[in-house]
Amino acid sequence: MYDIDLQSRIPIYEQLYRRIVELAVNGVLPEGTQLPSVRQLAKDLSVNPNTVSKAYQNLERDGVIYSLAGRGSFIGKIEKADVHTDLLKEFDLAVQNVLRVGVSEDKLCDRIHKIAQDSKSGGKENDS
Amino acid sequence: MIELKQVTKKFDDQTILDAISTRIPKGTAFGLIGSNGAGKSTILRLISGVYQTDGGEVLLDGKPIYDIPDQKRRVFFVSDETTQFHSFTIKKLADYYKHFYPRFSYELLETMLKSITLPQHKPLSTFSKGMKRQAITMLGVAARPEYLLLDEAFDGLDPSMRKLIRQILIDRMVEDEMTVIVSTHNLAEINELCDSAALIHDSKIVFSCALDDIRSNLHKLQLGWSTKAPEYSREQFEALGIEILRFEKQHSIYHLVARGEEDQLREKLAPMNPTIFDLIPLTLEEIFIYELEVLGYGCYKFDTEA
Amino acid sequence: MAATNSTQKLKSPFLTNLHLELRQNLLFAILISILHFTGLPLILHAAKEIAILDQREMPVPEEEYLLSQSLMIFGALSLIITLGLIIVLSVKSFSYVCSKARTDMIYSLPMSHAQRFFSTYLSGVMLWLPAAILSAILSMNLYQQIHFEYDVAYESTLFILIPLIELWIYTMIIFCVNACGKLHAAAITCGVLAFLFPILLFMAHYFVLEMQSGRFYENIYYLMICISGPPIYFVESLFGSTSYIDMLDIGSLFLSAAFNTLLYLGGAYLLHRKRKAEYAGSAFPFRGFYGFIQFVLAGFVSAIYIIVILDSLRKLSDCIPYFLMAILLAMLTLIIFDFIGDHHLRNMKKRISRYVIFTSAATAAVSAFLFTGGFGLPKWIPSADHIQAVSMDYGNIEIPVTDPRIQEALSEAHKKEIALNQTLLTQEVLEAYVVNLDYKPKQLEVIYQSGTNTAIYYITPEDSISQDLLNAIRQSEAYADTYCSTLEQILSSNCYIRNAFSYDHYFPAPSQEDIDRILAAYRKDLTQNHHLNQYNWSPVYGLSANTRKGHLEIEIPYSCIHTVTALEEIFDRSIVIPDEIYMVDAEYCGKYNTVHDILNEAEEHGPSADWKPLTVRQLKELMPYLMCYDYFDTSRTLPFETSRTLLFVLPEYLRTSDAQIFALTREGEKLLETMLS
Repeated sequence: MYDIDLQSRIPIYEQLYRRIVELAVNGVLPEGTQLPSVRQLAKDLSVNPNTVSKAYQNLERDGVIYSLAGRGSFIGKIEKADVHTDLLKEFDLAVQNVLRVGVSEDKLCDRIHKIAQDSKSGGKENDS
Repeated sequence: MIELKQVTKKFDDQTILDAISTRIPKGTAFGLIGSNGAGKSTILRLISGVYQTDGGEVLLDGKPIYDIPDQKRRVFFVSDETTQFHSFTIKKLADYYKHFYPRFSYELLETMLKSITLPQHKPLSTFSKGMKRQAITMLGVAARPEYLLLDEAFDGLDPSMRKLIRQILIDRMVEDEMTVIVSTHNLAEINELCDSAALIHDSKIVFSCALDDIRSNLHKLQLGWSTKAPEYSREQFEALGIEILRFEKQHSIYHLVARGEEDQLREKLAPMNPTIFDLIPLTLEEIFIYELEVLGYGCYKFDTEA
Repeated sequence: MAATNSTQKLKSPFLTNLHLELRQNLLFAILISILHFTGLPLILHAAKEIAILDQREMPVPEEEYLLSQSLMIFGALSLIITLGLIIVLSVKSFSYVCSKARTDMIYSLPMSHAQRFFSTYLSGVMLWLPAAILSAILSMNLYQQIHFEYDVAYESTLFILIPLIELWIYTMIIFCVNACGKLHAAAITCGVLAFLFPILLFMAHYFVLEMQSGRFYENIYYLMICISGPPIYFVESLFGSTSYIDMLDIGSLFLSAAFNTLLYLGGAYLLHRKRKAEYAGSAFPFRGFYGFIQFVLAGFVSAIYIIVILDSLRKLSDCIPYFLMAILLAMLTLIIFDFIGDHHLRNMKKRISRYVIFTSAATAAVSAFLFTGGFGLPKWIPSADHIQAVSMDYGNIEIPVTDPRIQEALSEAHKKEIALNQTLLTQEVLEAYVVNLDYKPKQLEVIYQSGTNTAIYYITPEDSISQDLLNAIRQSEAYADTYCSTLEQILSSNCYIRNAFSYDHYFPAPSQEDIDRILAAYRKDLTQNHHLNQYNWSPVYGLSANTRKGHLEIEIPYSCIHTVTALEEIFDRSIVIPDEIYMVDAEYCGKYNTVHDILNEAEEHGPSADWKPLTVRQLKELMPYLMCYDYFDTSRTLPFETSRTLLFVLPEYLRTSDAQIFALTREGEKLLETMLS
């Protein structure tokens, strides 16, 4: 589940952070899912526990997860989490690239609407 | 916590360590990096009580280590030499160390031997160099010390073996709160395991810090503007409050190495409105090289073979 | 992975290491213990068997000795191997200090230097010392069994020294290993400390003695053993002019050797504690100690060279080229030594200045010592007031001369005589002693003491003395008194008299009255001023006594008129000297090979015509011209070396053991001719 590349430029804690955020945003890890303890995750991934700890700290700082004393860490409300900035950064980058290759602004906006609508219906489907 | 306070060590008339100071907190995986002969092994030997300082102190939780068995018992040193064990078998060595390190665990040794199979009853002289290293490292782990010192322990091991050892070490760090101090000249090992490191060069500690801190605080930037943009100078960037370690312009892209958190840098550079803004994390090697450059150390070749 | 092993009870690292080392070397302990018992005890057991075989009356065939001889060889081999094993053990136990890899491992163990050092040392000692002590006691026992007839208390207690010497070797080697960083450097150090250093001290001591001819300083000897250990015993007993071991008591020998061992142990511990792990691999890491070794080496070489040329040196200015030569030789030695130790010579500048300093210092020290005659040590000439004790040493018996009158006589002579290079007894005088008194004393021992200085003067026949001193002693009544009173104590029991003709013919102990009478007569004889006639040797009577220290024989020559008369009056004349005696001239017995043959012939077939009877009176007349052979050996082949050899045989004791052999001097020949014709 957690694909950590030890040789990557991206620090491990950062990789872990992003991955959990991604999974939380995607819904793979819905709100309330309990995450493995720092110790357990470190063992499973063969990663320095301090590194895992840092990732968890950052996740908690940004509200992606919350921890209950004695019980562990849990995925929080992703809407309330401070992940917008990063995701928006990605969005901006993608938009810039798409614009650069010649796609028109209007086409881009239409596309955005379509995606939003699809996800609403997809969400409704999920609810029922 | 292990603390080195103004530690000096000389051999004959050569100074290997010159009044170095650093701290190694408990529960970390600490790396000592430096070229051959820089003094990494010397530091390990100072911590394990093999060497005595010529100046300064080496303290474990505030008390000195040298010649004090109660302190030495908390530390296990795995040397890079292997010849001293030639006549021993793993079983005999385990028996020997068990007497000196009361926390020694046979069960742990046996569990480890399940994943790294080595003959228990053959003398170590029949082992290959890599096998010897593995054997001694495992014995060190089985002794369950508070601080495990590994001198070039991964040298000569293939990546899969390194992974196994790393798993064992992390396991111990998690279960027992063991602190691991490794000395190496290979950055890949540091990268995989350590959360903190110290770089030793020219008998001094160049820097000693948590790696993730340094990683999050140093970034490579590639900035570009569309045509018709003016020529920007380094000073202009620095005027924005950014500490720049390297500044290069290739074609129309500016390559910078700047200190600061990612968000901070974005914020500071936002006014300049770059068209292209790529923030690239640095490899450990790059971090070290740039830091060394800043400190005035010229070319430095790191071994990064993974 | 759960590590469930509970932490074991924490044992002291000292005990832990001790236990581990002992366990590791268990087989070795068994081996060396066995070898101890198959060593010296086996040799002595074999010697005992051989002694038993020797005592058998019939000659024993060679084969019976074979087993004992092979046991002896086996025992000797065991002894050598034992020693080798102890050396190996001592090297092995601390060889890790010379190996970087092993030092890493062992220094990082949770043990303090002190704990490690003492547990290792002690474990080694425990492996063999108990067996060594037991086998020494066993050997002592066996030795006493072999030599039961003598009082061998002193010699047998020397066996207790053997485990101590083994301990010394063990400790010294450990010291050498700890002083160096390479094993071959340790070996060289061992050689210097075990051989060169004692030899150097011995040379200094010997030189001091040579200047003094017979004087001896006990304190210095103990000091030497304390500093350099047991090798001094061997060097001194091989080359020393007097047997020092005989003179010292076992207690002091033991203490000095023990002290030296402790010195090495303490030194080894200090070096071990002080040494740094990085010393492993560097030949001589302790600069001070290295300097000492260099100094001893340079001193040794210079000393040899200077002693050799010493005699030929007259003027100081002549000496300069020789000193330079000595310095050069010493430097060469040091360079070679360094090369052996290090295999390459780095820092030549530093080394050369070091060489120059050490060789010059050593040569200067040696020269100063030799030229000032030992820094004036021997210049202590005791004054006459310092005489503490005087005794006459006759080998088996020592007669203390405690009478103050003797001491005064000596003092008087001393005041005239004693100076450096002058000694006391002349050959002539000592021979006079022999004639006049009796049995040749081995030496005269005079002990002087002042404060902590002790000087023992041994006046031996090789020394020379003035006539005055001899006369002073001889003529003093006190001397005769002392001598006779000592004899009185000895003779009152276990005493018997024999006549010179027959060693078998013993007469039972005379009564106390008789002894008093004999001694009174003897006293008179001793003090009379006789004309010393060297041919007046023929003993007529012998006083024999078994003392604690052995058998004492006092032969009474015919010139001791009073004594002889007294004896003849006490014992029946006829028993002492027969009326008639047969004499045969050995020259006429040409057809016989040995004296034994002549006597056998006489016994079987009666005395032949060659045998001439002599009367006692005639015999008495001849006596002054007869020289008696010291020992009675019937296997002597004929003819004897002197001109005329006469055999005298008692008629009723015509057995081989009763013949007395005399040699007739030239003057006596004429007399004999007249008698026989």
